Amino acid sequence: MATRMKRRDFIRRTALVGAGLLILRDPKSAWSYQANNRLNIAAIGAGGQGGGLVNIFAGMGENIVALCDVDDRRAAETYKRFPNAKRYKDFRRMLDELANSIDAVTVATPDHTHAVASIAAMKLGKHVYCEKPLTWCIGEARAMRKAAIEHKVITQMGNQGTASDGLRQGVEIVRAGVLGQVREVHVWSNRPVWPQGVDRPKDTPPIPPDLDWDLWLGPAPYRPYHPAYLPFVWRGWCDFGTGALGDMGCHTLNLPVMALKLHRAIAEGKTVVVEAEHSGCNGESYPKWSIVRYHFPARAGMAPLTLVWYDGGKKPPQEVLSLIPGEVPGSGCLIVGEKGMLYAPGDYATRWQLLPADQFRDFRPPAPFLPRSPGHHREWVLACKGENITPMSNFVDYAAYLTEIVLLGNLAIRLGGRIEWDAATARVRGRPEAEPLVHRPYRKGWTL
Amino acid sequence: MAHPTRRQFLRAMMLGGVSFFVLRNAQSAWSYQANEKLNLAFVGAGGRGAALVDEFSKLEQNILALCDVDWRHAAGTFQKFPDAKRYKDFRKMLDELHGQIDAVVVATPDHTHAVASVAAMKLGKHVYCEKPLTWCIGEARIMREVAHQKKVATQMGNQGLASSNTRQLVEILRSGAIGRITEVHLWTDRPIWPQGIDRPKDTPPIPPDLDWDLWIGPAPYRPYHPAYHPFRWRGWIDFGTGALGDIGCHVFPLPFLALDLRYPTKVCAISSGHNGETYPRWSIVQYEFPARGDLPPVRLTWYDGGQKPSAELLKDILKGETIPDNGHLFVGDKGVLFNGRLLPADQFKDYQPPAPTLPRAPQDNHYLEWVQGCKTGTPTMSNFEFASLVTEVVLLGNVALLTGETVHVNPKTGDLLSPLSARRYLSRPYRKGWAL
Repeated sequence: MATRMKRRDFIRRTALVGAGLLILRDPKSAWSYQANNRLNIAAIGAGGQGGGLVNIFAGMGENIVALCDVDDRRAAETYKRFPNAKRYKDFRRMLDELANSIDAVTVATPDHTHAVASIAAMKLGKHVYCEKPLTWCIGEARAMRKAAIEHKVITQMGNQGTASDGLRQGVEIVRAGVLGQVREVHVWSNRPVWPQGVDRPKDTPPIPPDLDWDLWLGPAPYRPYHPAYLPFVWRGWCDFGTGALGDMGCHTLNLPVMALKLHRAIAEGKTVVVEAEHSGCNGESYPKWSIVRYHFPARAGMAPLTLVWYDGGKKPPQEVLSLIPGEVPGSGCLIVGEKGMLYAPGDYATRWQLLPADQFRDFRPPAPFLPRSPGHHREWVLACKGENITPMSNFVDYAAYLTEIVLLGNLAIRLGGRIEWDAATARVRGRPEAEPLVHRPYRKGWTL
Repeated sequence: MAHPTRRQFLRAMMLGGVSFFVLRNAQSAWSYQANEKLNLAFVGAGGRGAALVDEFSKLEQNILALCDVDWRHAAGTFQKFPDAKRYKDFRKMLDELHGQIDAVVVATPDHTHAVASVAAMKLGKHVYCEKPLTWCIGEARIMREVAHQKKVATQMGNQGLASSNTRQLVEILRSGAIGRITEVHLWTDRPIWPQGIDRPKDTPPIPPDLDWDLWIGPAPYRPYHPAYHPFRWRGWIDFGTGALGDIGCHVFPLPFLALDLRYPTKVCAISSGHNGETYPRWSIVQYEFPARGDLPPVRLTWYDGGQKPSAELLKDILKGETIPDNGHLFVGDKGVLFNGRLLPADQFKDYQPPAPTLPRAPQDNHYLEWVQGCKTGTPTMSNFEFASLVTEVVLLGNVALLTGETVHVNPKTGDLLSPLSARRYLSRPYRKGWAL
């Protein structure tokens, strides 16, 4: 399907110039032809979550043309399953060689390489499905958004709960005003389930033969290899991961952010004040626990509110928990309105109940006004194929803003104290030391 | 003065009609009663309590009983009134004397105002209680409810409200002298007791005349220390209500009456910070009140611990004078009221205050106002209906101080909307053996 890009260009042009030149092939039939085609997908990150993504897209009948992973051993299983896919260690080489034969790219690497990989793909006009959080730093999230706009590609971030009917109905209920004015939100997570609050290891074991350690580090500052960083446990390290909040924020904050249009505060260039309380952060790994308070201003016609995030075993205070029926789960979300509360137990906010229960016994949800999803991954695939569908967690309208909100918490954790984030200028007021955390300087050889 | 009987008689008269009393109309019955002495029992007889005993004895009321947990602190009062019965536990006093007591005066630390006052009101006694009315918002609401149910005469001890000056200021502001008022500033040099300190670690012996367990009352138990008693309890979160609680109930009534304020929509505070033990060394608390009928929204700002309104705000008003340690400033669109003065001076050169519309306290005497209230049923200006509202709003400032967060309130009901965590400051579980 090497001619696919050309075909799409052709269709676009037709639409612009007019159908007069194409008597035999109207755009409609061209689209349906295209929809029957398979997407040529290249995967950046093929082990762990990357392997999972590849399976999902292959299961939907898409064509996995190439797999890229810096760790052959970690990717071995996926390699075995897709023997015909070309294999790479360096995504730059892969994109270089296959620029004309791929339609779309999945990115499921550690957080610190999401942006370099995704933006390189977008610059080639490739559609991108990228894992959450969208990026390691806010500057990258903004660059992702810009690239997606500039190159007009289809994007989706991997916070799959976004596609659930439950989450969307929850969003509709809050937006319909069922809870009245909302001024308070509590979100808690059972993360981290990996080490945090630890020091950098001092020993330097040899690099496993199947791992390209330099590529794994990518744009991050160089340090010697250690199994304390990979696989998976990079999440707790400041240079690579984004901690408990980065891992789960894009899931567990998803419903309140979307429902209360908190992302619009970022889009509208407002000031968001963030305060973090935590077990201590040495700049090496994220704290063992944290409580992050976000103060959002009025945005999109909604009242200012305070959102509090708790992780590492911290939970909302008893006054809040006492309002929740049953056992308090490890993760959850409580949206507190003047007229009632929406409580979503679990990590993904895909199910919820309205409280106090008595008050909502005869509750009927408002008529749906958000589209229901054919599936989070399918949204992206269908959009890539030209169907009239917009992936809900696309980079431009949502995912970059949601990620910025998540990363603001980390900024407050690392800077300490109370930070005033000016979303208009992407600066922390009066804290120039925030700059390298917002716009990360890259290691030589790496750019966006 | 077999008072309850007489009260029953009066009630019967009002219900059954006057036909049985040809010679004595209702009016003469009231005046007869007005000449009677009230039998007063005091809960708290040292410090402020001692001063109140003096005030009511000057009004020639009968000092029937004195209760204090610290007999040394109350010794002076005991000596002055040797015939008064003495108690340490007000519950025992009310139990033994309730047939003889007409009214109760409560002047204890803030954390025991409610238990003492509610116990008295439930026995049908009139109550005078020092300010702030209560330690927490939940108690203030119960005080209002019980006073309403029992229809007793009540008054909170914010004596400044009885002065004709204050009432005239209310009338002046209500008449629109300075136009539409949108900003109020109130400041005090309090605290003049320690705040911003840690709980003492040493445990000196309890003085022999003090019943420490009774002093603690419904609050969580902790060992005795002179850092708490006498007087300095004001700064401790478990017992007092800080600078705002102490002075707020004196100075909030003027804007409340003049501007017809009720509950705010939100309250936020900045302060020197607190450790959960004592109130901050200084604070600034800002209340946002919604529009009321034709009256515009009002922002009321409170300053204590040396904080004052900005020099910028006051520069045209002071004209070089230093900012006084205590003050009020009402900013209207046609002028200001600054510590009782209408400014700019030129504009108000020939100002004539409006004719009085508020009743005046008899002889401008706050204590007499309540005594007459007990005898005639005329509500005092600082009755618990009003005093509980003012106290609730004052204490909302403490909630903002203690949570460090903006507190959102339903302005119609006073119910706390957010943050939910602030609920812990609305009421507290009482120590075993104590209840309202």
